[in-house]
Amino acid sequence: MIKGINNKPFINLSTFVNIQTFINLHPKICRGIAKGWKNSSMGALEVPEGFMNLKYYDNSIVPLFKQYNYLQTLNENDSIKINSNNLNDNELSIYLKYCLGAHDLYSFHTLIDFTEGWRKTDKIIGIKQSAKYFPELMQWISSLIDQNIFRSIGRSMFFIQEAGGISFEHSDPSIDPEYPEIPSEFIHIRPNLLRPFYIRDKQTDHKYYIDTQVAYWNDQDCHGGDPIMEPSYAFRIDGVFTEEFRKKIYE
Amino acid sequence: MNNFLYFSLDNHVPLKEFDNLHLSICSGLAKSRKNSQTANLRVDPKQIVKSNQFTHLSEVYKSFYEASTNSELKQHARDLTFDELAYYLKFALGGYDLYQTYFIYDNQEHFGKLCQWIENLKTQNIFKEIHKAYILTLDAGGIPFEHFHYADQPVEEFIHVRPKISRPFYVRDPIEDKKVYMQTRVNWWNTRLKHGGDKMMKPSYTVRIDGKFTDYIKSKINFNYAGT
Repeated sequence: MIKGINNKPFINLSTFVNIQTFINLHPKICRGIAKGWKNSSMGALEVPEGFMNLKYYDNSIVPLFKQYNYLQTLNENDSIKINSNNLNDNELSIYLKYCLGAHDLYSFHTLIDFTEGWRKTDKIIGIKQSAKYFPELMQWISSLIDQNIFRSIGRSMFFIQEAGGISFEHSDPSIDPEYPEIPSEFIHIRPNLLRPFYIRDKQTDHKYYIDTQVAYWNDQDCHGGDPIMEPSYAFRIDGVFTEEFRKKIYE
Repeated sequence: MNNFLYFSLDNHVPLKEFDNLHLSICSGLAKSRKNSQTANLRVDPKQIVKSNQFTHLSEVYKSFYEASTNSELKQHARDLTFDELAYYLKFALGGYDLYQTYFIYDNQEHFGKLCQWIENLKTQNIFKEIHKAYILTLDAGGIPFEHFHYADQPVEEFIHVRPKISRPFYVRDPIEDKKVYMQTRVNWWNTRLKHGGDKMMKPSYTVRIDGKFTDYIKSKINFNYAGT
């Protein structure tokens, strides 16, 4: 059983959101990824308990967050722990990968992050350092407010996956720290459909593959992706949809 | 030794001391990531055995190199460092290469103990001279693509050290065209032979040290017959 949106596993937004400008930005986005990798976050260390669905993966694959949790259980005098001291998050991700064999081929470029008051303004606040590598994209994100898609925008980020990386199935925790009870509203864009991405019905095990480049789904439903042998990226913009946009997509 | 396709040096190299460095190596990898090399654009794509699983980054780089200066692809690559260019081409054109290379002597502050261990290989009668040393890391699922060096290049004098043999690595038998897996942790082989590895779902690293072998080691590995 999936929660879905309007009784659907996902909403195809291709008739409501014109992503051609985004698609045209592909070479500039690749340049931004290249220039900004040192500001990106490598892998996910802290993942809340119970949100991952790991039963479909071989036991030999140990996600990074599990090894991070294991690190927390070690005694301060443990040599693994001692060698992890004074590492920043990215360094710790690399350390845990090679020290304990952790899997996580994601990196994240966050352009805008949730900042107190974001829901109440149509100005984009919470702009992060990575945004400077994607100036045209930032303009396009702003245009989504002018186009009456979002009333306000709280976060936008790239999910970058190296070749062969696994998008472990998971459901998302509440994302907005200010209003955890409000369901997420977002648009998720892929520049192409090469990397299969799906919503999983955990009761029937059925995977609903998202067969569109721009989609919205209930992120409390389990979702994940199949690996492909080339690097890929997806882009997600979280915000508050306008009433007009909600009406369109719920019709 | 396995039909002379590779030679083990496990009995000549102090592996116990190397194993004791594992955590400090991992910490060094973490701290010097920003000073490491992403992928290898400079390799000649003809030296890489074609795979139907991926398009190697070097092939992508070749197309990029041959593209017109006015092409959009080239325009957006202006002023990128080599490392940035590797990232750019991976995402712009889908090139495959999950290797990261850490040049140990360029990052001595993070690999101090490893440098000492490497230098000791001279007193242990392995190397007369050491020219370079580097760590190759491969992220989980990464394929150590099969490749070879040209016959007109000198036979390389090096040792290749693996912390474990869990990442399968092989030399391809040129006569029977089959993989001969290295069952030992410190090896030398003639890099003119095709060699590569199978993927595993955990990140891994290997250390390679290049230099001039001592006559003693050369006699142990039949080095003087290599390439004949």
